[in-house]
Amino acid sequence: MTPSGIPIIDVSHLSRRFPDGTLGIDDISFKIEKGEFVVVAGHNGCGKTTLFRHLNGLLAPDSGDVKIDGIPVSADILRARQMVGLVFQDADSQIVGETVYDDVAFGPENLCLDPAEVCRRVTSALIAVGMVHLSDQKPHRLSGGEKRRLAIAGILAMESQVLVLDEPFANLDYSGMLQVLSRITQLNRSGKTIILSTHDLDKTMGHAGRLILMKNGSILRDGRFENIIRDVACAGVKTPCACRMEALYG
Amino acid sequence: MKSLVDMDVRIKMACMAFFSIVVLKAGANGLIALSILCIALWGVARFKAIEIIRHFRMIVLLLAIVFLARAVTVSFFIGAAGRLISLDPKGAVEGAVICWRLVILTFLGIVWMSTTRPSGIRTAVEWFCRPFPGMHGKQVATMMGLVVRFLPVLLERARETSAAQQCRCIQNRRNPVYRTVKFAIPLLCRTLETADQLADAMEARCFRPENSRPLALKPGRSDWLALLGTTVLCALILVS
Repeated sequence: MTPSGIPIIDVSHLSRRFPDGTLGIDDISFKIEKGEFVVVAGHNGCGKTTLFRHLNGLLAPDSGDVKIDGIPVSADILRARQMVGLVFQDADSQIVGETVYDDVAFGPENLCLDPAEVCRRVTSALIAVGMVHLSDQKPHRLSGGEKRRLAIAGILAMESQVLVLDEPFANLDYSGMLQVLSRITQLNRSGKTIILSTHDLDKTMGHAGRLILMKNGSILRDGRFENIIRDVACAGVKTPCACRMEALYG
Repeated sequence: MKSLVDMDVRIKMACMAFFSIVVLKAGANGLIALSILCIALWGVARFKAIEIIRHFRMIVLLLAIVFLARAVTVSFFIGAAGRLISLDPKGAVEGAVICWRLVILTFLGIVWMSTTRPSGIRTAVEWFCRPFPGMHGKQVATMMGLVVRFLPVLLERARETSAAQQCRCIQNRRNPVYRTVKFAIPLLCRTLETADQLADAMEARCFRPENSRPLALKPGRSDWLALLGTTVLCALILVS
């Protein structure tokens, strides 16, 4: 999806220090436009998850602010959480429903929607991730890829405009990764803004338009994916195989 | 099966509570009546025998221990019979009656768990908590729902932790306290971390206890009849 030119996320001079004194993120600023597909990459502990948790108000910054569609997160946290859906790294610890259907309905029910609307949203979210046939299944019986898709469906049912995915390919086998990646790219094509973090840039090459490299809580590089993909090693991220092959064989 | 699944959860819970209390007080006649009821429930719920055996396999050891504890007498001195261990017929009957009660209770529990969705249990708990001031029914119900949801995850983690420790030869350490501490602390830490992540995930999806929507419960004629029948049967068992 081509970015619209309108910023939906505006992060300005965001800093956060943990209670033990460690610097989580340090003076980060960037804007993300509607419909963009942004990859945030960096070594373990570089601040990706901390940054993501500021985008929907789960963490409050020490300084700086985050605006969602022009309104600061702190001014209306509920709105921010509706607009920015966060999919956590460990799918198991965010699935709360007894069945797949119940879990997807959890968010819309919290928004106090009427049952018919909840049902419509749940069905539409399950269709979007290809899991309608598993509606009555118990979540702990799903495969890793299915659990991740269920977590995404839970966010889609809240009709979030921005999907933030923290390491969505972690611990997934090849088919699980393909299932999740194809849903993410479909969602981006349908107009959703996607922000995801990963260590493995091979998977998102050719899909993402923008890459943000983080190191020690700061942004090291921010630009078009193809322009900075060759410099990722300086942020402690593996250079994609395609780039290494190109460097070797031209 | 369908009629038990569709039954109003509050009435089903009340019936189960009545039966559970009565089974502890019932004599032989009462236990026979309750056993006939269990057989009838088996028919209605259409359980497969293999399922029942699988559930009961877990408590066979407990039943054996209970029975032996009642039936067998151990003397420190050789008595008139000339044996250290002797069988007490009165104790054996008492042990059998206790085991019979436990079997009925377990069977009722299986029926309850197999025919009631956790969301239904949550709604019923919330409803029963309502008259008591200071009891936050919604929070209690949400907590119960989460416990049910996370039990398989926690059991899986416990299995993983145990297997990982066995891979590093924990079985060579004979001290049970050392082994328990080495098992319990990492498991507890992981559970608390999971609880933190869960709280964040729920918050990210706009969770507020007051916003959760309970299931609509509407008792029908058959539900009231079941409650009436249970009350009458329990009263008869207690009186007899």
